[in-house]
Amino acid sequence: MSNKTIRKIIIILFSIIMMIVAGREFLIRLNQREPIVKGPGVTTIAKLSDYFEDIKGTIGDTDVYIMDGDEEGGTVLIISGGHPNEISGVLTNVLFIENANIIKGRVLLIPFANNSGFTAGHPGEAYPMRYTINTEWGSRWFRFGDRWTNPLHQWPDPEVYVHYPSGQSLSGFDIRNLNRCFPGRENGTLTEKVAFAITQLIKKEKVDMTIDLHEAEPMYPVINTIVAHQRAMDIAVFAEMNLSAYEGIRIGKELSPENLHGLTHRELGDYTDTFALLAETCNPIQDPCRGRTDENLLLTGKDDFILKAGKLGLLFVPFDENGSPVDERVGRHTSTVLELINSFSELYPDKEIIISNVPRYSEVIEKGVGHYLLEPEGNL
Amino acid sequence: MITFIYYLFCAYIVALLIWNYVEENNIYNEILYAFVLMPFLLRVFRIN
Repeated sequence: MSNKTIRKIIIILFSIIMMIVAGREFLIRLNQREPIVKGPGVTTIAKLSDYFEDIKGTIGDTDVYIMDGDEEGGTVLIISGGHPNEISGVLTNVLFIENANIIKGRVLLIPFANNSGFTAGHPGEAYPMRYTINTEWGSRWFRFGDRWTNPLHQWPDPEVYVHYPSGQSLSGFDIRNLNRCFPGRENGTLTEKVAFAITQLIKKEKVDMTIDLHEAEPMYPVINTIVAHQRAMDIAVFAEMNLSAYEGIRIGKELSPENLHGLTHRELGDYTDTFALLAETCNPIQDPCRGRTDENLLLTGKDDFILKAGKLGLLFVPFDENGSPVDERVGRHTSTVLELINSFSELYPDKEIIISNVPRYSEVIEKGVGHYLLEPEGNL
Repeated sequence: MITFIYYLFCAYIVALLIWNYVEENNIYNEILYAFVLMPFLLRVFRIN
């Protein structure tokens, strides 16, 4: 064998080893699933494809946790993971799934709404693949994904995304943004089909109120707020007053713009009978002016650059050396969801929903999110 | 359909890179071809 041939074999072997190392990490990201414990209140785990068969067997299919109460009442749907890089909504849903007892009514939960987005990070953003929450018995890990559907599952993007059915023009990549695709399209892209499936679920299960959980960067004006469809504004107003009066949570309320299409708080309210609401907390890892992007920033929300931006008056939320820790963000969401449900129940007593055993803001801050996570069986 | 054509195109580039790698005599170009090959192969395998 000549020297040239030996050299070529060595170079290509080295290249293959590097490809295996990188490919292994990509494969883990594509296939990993965090364990979720079926809490005492969960009666059924359905699939989103049960409501729209076209997504069966695709990455768009995702679990729907159904919690039936002892007494009949209203039905609420809590969606998170529509944007997989907004983690406090996912953790809030997991706290509900693993802890809540439903006394009256029904609660449906979709923790990983855009399942495809959880299999990718955003190119160039240095997103960590996963994050870990410490508990008294060990730790739990969760996927940290991209805001958009993985381009491996939906490609290519158009130059301009024309929203169906409004005809509104949006950025091309937003065709992979689940919260720009509602009410969805039966024969559309994967993301449109997922949105369509959620809309079908709301219709078939006769969901009275839908709460979509999100996070926003501190430099974005729609933050620490509730966005409500015009039919749901009363619910948001009551919730805001109670959150402020009883828990000291400063939260805004905003009317869903009638001409901004594709979002849950607009389209689900327009195309179904549900009261559509969306809640936002502050997630510094999404901010373009952030510094080092790692798990620590994701969980503590501490960042010197954002702190500086705050001192320059560039932020839309109060921000100090304590950052925006995940316990605070999840606590805001649990209290907001509980208060929206309470407000709905007061306004519509014939459809009352009563939930117990879900921690509120002060409890989550005092004990931490990890305190409320159950220990899964088997290997993590 | 467009996705299928895209993957065919990727596979074609992989074939070209391998052919060039085999034919190349310059070590620096060999290393270049071997490294450029990686992302295209991963894409053909639908890993990234």
